[in-house]
Amino acid sequence: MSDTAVTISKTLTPGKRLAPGLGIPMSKTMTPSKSLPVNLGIPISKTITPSKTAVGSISIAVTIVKSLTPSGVIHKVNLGIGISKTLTPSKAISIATGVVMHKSIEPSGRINAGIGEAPCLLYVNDLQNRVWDLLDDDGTYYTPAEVLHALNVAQRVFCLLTFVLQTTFQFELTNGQALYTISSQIPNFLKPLRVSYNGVRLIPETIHTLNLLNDAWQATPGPVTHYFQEGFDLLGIYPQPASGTNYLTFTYAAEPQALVGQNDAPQIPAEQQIHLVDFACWWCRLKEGGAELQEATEYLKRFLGAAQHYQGYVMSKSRGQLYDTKPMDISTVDKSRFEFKQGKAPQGKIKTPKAPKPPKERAE
Amino acid sequence: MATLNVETLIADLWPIFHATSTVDAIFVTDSELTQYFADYLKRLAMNVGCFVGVDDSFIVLNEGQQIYAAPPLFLDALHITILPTEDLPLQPLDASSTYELENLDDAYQTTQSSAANPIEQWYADKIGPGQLGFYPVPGAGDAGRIAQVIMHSFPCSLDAAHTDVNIDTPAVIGDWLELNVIYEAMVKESDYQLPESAASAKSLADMLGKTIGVLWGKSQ
Repeated sequence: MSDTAVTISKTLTPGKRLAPGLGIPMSKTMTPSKSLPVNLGIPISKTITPSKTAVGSISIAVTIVKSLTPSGVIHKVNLGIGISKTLTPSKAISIATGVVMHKSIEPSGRINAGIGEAPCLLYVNDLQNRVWDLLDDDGTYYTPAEVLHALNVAQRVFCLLTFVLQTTFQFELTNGQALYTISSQIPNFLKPLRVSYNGVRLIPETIHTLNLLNDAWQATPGPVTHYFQEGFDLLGIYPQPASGTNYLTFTYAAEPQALVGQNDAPQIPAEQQIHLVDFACWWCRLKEGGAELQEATEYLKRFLGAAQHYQGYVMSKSRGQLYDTKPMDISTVDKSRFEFKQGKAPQGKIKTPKAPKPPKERAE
Repeated sequence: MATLNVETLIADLWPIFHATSTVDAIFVTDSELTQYFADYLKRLAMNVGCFVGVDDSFIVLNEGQQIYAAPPLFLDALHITILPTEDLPLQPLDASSTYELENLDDAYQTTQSSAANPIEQWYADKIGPGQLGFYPVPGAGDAGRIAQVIMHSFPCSLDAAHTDVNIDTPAVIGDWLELNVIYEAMVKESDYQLPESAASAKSLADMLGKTIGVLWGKSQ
């Protein structure tokens, strides 16, 4: 047996997305899980290319330098032979000793935290993993589609309770027309917050109050001064412009887009995204019932508390609460209604009738 | 406003019912779930009044006809207007009642409109559900005119055969419907009955229902 110089060049594919961060130095010490049939003093140079597109077009270049000390026995000697091999590992890196990793990352997206911290923006992949962690699952029992749906419900409910997503849109008017279907121009509309015409804010009304103002409100030409919104989708304006091209500047509370792919991020602010995990845990536990659901109810209460807190923040941003529509104040909701005790009927008033008592045995 | 698909909503719920599709569902069927969705849409329409429609073709006035069938899917009227013609202007109507009309005109059921006495009021009491009356009764000059009705309506398009699968509501209404459907499916008598899950889903559905009522209810 004698020493030889072997050079191995490997191309590895990491199994997980690397968290972006500027100039993050990482140092790791690993212990090989297998015996290496190579000699002492083998320099190994590896180049790793991530298999997934880094989020926000982040380019990652990783160089790994290894120094290995063989633990096995070399049975074959080839003095002075240079070996070059290109490997494609099927697993994440698990065999390295004294590995030094150096990363150069240039994120094109926003960086939410200081250098060296994990980014605040949570993607579907992150959120799903967090849900599975809490539920002690790996996607087998609570499927990815199931968890994704729960996250979507969570985001929509959060937006409904807080009006966190607010958008302004130029709503085109037709001359002489009083009634409009909002969804024909705004697909993600929830409620109007502020509507203006030529820079002048419109007064919100109902059909009833417009009737009191002018019962011919449907056929009164002039610049728009009042509007109403009835039901999900009906918009009425009074008076109606008679000529030219006219728009309403329509600020409204919006619904979020559905999360679809693994690299999608919720539209709600990054710091609020952690609450979606709470709701999703509760939703997934619905099919369990019992103690599992009882524990998850605490997550639901925490989600609702966070929504309530953030609702106050959103409203306080509008001085004097000058929105035309305000979200419902959920601070008055009795959250104890979500609780139940094991063995007792919950507050749905569902009771199992007691079995009749057996007749007493007569004394012989 | 998103157009939801009841088949998609049901597909979202199969994992909660320990199934992957209607094929391996044991304790609840696709038709049952569809029925729950349809029922809660009607409850939403009746309790909140969030489906507001405009019909401007169904009611065509006839000379001497006092009472007319309301448009399909009618719950109640918010505003009624006689649409303009080439010769006649738009005629907005006021809501009234038979008690008021009796005091106004003993012959309110037969007095006909004229150029000097146009149709001014509509009413809906003491004539049965889904009916609308006009005072004065349309005369010859109003024959052929159309009454535009802004109304609360209710959706009634879902069926077990899924001939129509669309639900025209914001997406979060679909979530509220799903919570109620979970409640119905888990509270019904079966081996899969989960009363605590049913009650938990119902509690959140009730809270969201109040929110929906505040935002889109008749008080708005």
